[in-house]
Amino acid sequence: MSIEVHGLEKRYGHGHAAAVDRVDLSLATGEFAALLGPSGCGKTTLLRVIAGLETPDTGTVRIAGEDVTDVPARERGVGFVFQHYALFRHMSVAENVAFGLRVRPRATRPTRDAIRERVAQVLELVQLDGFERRYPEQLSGGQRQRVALARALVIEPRVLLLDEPFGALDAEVRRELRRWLRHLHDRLHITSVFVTHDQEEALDVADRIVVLRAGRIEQAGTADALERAPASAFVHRFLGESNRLPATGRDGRAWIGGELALEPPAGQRIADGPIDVCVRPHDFSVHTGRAANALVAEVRDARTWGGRLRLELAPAFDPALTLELALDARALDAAQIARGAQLYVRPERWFAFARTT
Amino acid sequence: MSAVAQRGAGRLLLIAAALVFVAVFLVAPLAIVFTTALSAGFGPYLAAIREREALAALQLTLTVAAIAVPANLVFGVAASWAIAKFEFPGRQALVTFIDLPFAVSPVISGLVYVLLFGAHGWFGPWLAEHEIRVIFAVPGIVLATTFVTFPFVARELIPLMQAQGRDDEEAATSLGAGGWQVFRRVTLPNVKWGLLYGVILCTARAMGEFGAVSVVSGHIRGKTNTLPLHVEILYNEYNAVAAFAVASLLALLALATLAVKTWVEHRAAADRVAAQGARP
Repeated sequence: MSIEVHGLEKRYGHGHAAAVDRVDLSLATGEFAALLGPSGCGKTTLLRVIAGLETPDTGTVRIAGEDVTDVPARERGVGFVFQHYALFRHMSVAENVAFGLRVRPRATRPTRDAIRERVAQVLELVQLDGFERRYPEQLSGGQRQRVALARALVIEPRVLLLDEPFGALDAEVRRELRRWLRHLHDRLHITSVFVTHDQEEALDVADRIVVLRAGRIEQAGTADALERAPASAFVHRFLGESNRLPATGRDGRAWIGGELALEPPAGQRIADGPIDVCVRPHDFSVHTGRAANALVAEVRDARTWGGRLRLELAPAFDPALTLELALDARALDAAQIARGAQLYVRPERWFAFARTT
Repeated sequence: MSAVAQRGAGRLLLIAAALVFVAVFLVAPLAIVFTTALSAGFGPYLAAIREREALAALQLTLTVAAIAVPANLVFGVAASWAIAKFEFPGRQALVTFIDLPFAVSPVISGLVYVLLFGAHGWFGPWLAEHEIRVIFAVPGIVLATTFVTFPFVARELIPLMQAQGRDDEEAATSLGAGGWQVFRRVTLPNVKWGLLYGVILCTARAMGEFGAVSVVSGHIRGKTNTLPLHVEILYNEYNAVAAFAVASLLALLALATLAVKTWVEHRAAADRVAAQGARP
């Protein structure tokens, strides 16, 4: 089912900055979206407003076209998964999963047998069949989160909302579980939104990434679209490592440190005035000998790992800056790149943004 | 002497000090209660307990506890539920007010009720007109006891519920549970041991309260005397054996509560251990 959010605003008390600030968002049926942003950007609040766990100050929430802004959480038909699982510790796995069916009014409650069957089905779906009688404390973190997911899925929710679902798990389980969630979504096609502050997780799982900053949507799109055309330095930095070079826009070019003028790629215009040039670590070219139209920089540190040569450079025009580069280890003679050596570097792929802060 | 030996000696000293302290201030008085009560033999002991006024005092004490404890149970659960799970104006004030009975001397607590409901109190004339007796009667004793034992359940539950957060309740709500279902199926089972512990402490205090009850009771023998008040009266009449015999009843009630409390703690710990031990 689709989710539409319009003009949403939520403030925690007077005088506080808005946690969610006039947000518009529309997700198509079956979409898997990630709300991505640093802590305090309002991503969890937005998710909770959609679930009905928070009431917005203004704005509307629609699920499957129906305005649910004033519908209480218990009647929204939303599956919610919490970062810390929120399993009922005094109930077995089967009882946890059956909860959403057992609390239904008698008229719509399935029979005892039907509930047992449905619980078994869902547990099989999350690959936890045979765990019915265990208690939450007897399960690993990954298993607990799958129980939480089963519990949310058993009510056949119209949408599935996940609040940092992998946040409490260690790195390996986290990677495994998110792939698994991706495959589960491919099977169920249930419209899903998950909140994360981990860009790798968002890029790995979601169809669409919604980058939030200070309660507002900075940019939304596929991982590819965000990488090809980031809307701001913030998005560029948040989706991966990013070097930010202060520059000046003049004559349609980006001037860095007075010595380097970069021509924008076709289709990009550079406004006059202070700008930031953002470059990924692997998007520099490096020369050991003097090169024209390049920045002079001194090597502060050089290490090879993972097939890459990682450099930390101090540009001559402002030695207080640090440039972080990652180069193919085979492309350069590492022996020549000792600490203190001088290099000539040029951004080959970059984005320019008007300076905001 | 080595540092380890020194530390060992220091530890022994501390343990000995603690044990001596417990013996002198806790065990000895308890022992004296029972030895004095039985100093004239079993006959006088039983007679003192079986006496009509003593039995009336026992009955009143149990009645008061039977009213005050459930009242505070309901209030304590409601207040901590509200405080721990919701944001509302006056929440902080409520937290502070719950502690008031702990901060105020019980005698003051009793006096407040005299000032409110006594013959010359605010509601005194109205009550007299309708022939309702509060002060120097059972309702006053119940009110004073309820006031004094007010914080026990809430104090026990608030930190527990706050530590548990709202996730469980929110999960239950999003799964379609109504307010009562959430409370009965999720919140209550999560706090059951803490709740029981609070009720036990509340009961112990309700049965033992002296100051507040003394002010509002009027000390009418066989009518408005609770066990602690009865002990005092007997003692003031130089009837040491009877006083200590009745006191031993109170002590037995206290020991029984203590036993239940230990059992509850044991069960709660066993629950946790069982849960952890079963971890794969």
